[in-house]
Amino acid sequence: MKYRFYIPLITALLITPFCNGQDIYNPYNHFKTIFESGTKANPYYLSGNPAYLRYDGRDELLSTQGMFNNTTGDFKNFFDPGTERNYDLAFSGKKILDSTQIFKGYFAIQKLERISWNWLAVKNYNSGSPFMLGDSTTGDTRYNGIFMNAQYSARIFNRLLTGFSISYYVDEGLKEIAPRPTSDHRDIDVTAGFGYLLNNNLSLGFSLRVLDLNEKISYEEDEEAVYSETILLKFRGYDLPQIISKKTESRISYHNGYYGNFDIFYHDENISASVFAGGGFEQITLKDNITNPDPEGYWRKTSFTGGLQVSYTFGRQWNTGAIYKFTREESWAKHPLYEVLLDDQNNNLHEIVLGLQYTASEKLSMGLEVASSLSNVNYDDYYSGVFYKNENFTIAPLLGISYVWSDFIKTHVALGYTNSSNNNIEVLDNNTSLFYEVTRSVDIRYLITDYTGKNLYLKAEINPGFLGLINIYIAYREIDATENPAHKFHDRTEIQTAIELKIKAY
Amino acid sequence: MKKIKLFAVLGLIIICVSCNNILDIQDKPIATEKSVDFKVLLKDKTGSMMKIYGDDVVSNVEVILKSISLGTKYVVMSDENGVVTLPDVISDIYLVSAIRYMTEDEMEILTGERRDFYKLMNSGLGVVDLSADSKDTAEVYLDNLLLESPLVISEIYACGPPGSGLYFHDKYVEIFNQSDSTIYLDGLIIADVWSNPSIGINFIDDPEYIHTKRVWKFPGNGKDNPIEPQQFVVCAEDAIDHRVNAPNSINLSSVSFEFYKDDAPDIDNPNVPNMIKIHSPSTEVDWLIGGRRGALVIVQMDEDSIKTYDNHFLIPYKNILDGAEYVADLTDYDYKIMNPRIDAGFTGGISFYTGKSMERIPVLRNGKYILKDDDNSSLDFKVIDHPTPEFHYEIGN
Repeated sequence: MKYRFYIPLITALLITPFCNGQDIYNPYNHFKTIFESGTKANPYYLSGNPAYLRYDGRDELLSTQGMFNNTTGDFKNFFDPGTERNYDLAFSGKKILDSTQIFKGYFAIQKLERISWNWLAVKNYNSGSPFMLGDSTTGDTRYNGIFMNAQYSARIFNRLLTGFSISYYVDEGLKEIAPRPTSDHRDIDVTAGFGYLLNNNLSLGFSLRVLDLNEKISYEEDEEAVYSETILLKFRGYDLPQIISKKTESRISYHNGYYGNFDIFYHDENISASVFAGGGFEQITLKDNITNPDPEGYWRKTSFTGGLQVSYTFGRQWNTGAIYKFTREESWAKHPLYEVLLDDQNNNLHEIVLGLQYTASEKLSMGLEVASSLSNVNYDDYYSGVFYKNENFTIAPLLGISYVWSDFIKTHVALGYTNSSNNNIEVLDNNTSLFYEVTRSVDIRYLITDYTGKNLYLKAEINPGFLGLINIYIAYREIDATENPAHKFHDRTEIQTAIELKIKAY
Repeated sequence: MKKIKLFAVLGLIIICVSCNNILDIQDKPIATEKSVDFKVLLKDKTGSMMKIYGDDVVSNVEVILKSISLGTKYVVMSDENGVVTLPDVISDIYLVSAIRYMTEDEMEILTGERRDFYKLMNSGLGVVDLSADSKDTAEVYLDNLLLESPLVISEIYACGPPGSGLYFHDKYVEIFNQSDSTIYLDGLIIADVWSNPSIGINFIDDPEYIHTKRVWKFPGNGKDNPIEPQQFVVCAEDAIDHRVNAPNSINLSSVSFEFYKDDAPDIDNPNVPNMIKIHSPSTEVDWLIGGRRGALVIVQMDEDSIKTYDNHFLIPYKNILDGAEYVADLTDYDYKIMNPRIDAGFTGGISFYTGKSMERIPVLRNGKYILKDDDNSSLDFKVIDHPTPEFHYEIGN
């Protein structure tokens, strides 16, 4: 009888759009299936279900993290900044109460700098929405913000797991040259999850996620703007922006998302496996001119994701892991005034990761992981008369060695290589303007350019015997596109550093 | 059990239906942008075409459409059925100007006399809404048969020069004689349109008059101030060399006329004849037209016939020779202030202190340049980077 209740409920959740839960920025996670990630084949990581917080691998220590990230180079979209820097100072902690309740909190002060950023004032310009606002200047923009996340999970009625995750983010952005647009962001991300333990090894779970992201951009006439001309650009596609000589403007973007996710989790002594499926949708509604709002467009994306992750340990020396994930996204944009489709986009992404780890001794372990992805992108920009499709295949092997030098220090080194190639490329641009020819066509060339990449990761875990544990992390990634000189891209490099201090404070 | 199922199904339906409203989910449109050819049908409402050709459609007409959002201009000819077709064009509001220059033969059929310089055109707000989700043919009515004005406003410069702080004393309006004969400016009036749309004061829909607070006239007793064919005349706020105060400004010390306000601490260049103030707000120290938006008219009427209304003045449309409106934001159609019978569009889109000017577009007709006068500033004017007092690059002077 009770299953008759569950069947429509589960069916409803399966057809409800959904996506993965929010993954808090974690710089240490470069392997996906082995080493530390071998313990992550569970719904908490795979589908973001907070009911499974008990499977979070982090220990009950107060953690203080300082992180810095710098990405620079000319292999980029036209609207990507020349250099992007992130500075984070974060504090996190976890506490388990009487083995049934778990609390986890995260607080971060963040600074984002975008150096030599072309035109845009929209922070999340890679959302897929074609509606962009900016001005004709290229300059530096910085965002100062705070991020908070609280997670709680409890086991009730013996077999039922419940969990909630609430994230809150606010920041203020400023472009540092005239006309100095400012922007305010307020993001709320809530996930509620449930898990039902069928027995000691098998459980079913589902989660619902709601996103509410607001952005307000303001152009105001400051002293410098009085003496200079402000050219605003309003995009509805790749080409044909509205070019307006205007000193004051405001835009509010209401970005909402709703996702549902269903998962199955099995684990025993040697194996841990998780399967998930779900979907959801996001929509952006834009309005300009706060005093007398005008509609500026509507964009919607629906997505479906499904996959599985398995981690298997055989003997005492071998660990293997595998992930398969499929994502399909469809998005479209509508004219603000008419029932007219401006663009239509869909893409499929298959990701497969296979990993094998060998523990040679208590001190030495090594592993190889190969990640590959196959994606198809199909983009029709009816408004601009720009159409393209391509197929991308990326393969990225990663080799790592972990060694315990002493009780004082443990190190981990990983070397990786990436190869990205594009096939079945079709690009059609009908009657595009000079504007497109000299600027945004770069975006399509960027998408269809083959590249190779090299990655290096270093991690040291230091235990000085007092104070706590210290983790030091350095990552270097380099993308090289010089084999495609026709596209005039060269390279892009990313350096990521972090230091973490873990203290047993409670 | 059946009741439970029924309630469950009903509940799911209600949730699904109400979700769309609560979450403000919009449907995916069926029509895609640029998927249809837009069609505009031109019809004569004056009866002229019916009398001459026995049909009210207007064929062989040059039609200009200008996109409000992008400013893109399309020039197309109507076919024998009076239809213009626009392929591969975005959905938008378009300003439309359709003008058919009448031949002497046609005017002879209409009036019994051979007359030149008559044109059949659309008056009123020349706007059509073209959307890819509609397959209807838009209609534009040509409802005005009129003689072309010999005098037109050829340039308006109002925003102030760049790089000199809040300097704005170099404004001027320029007039051009595009007829073949000498015209005397004596007594002609220059006025601007008064409104304040931001607080709801806008007389755009007045059926007879423009409303004004600033009325000035040219000096002279009838034949003192001639303007020759193809000549430009500038009336400047202050006829001085502004480059002394603002290096990026212009020399207006030798222009034809100057607005001098004798009841205010205004600058007067004794070598330049003064415009005569008829009405001007006492609080203003000079001829101060809007830096980013405004509307000017040239009027031929006796100043004593100007009526008073409330605290401002009325000028009949029938006495207006030419008018031009300019706005700060070319996409903000709601702030238009001049009746479309005088000017169906607007030029501008210029920020303060950029040194940009609005100049009427020259066109070649019968081997000589005239200035485009479709009574639609959106199509008649262009923005130039630097003012050209009493001078057009194409025409000279």
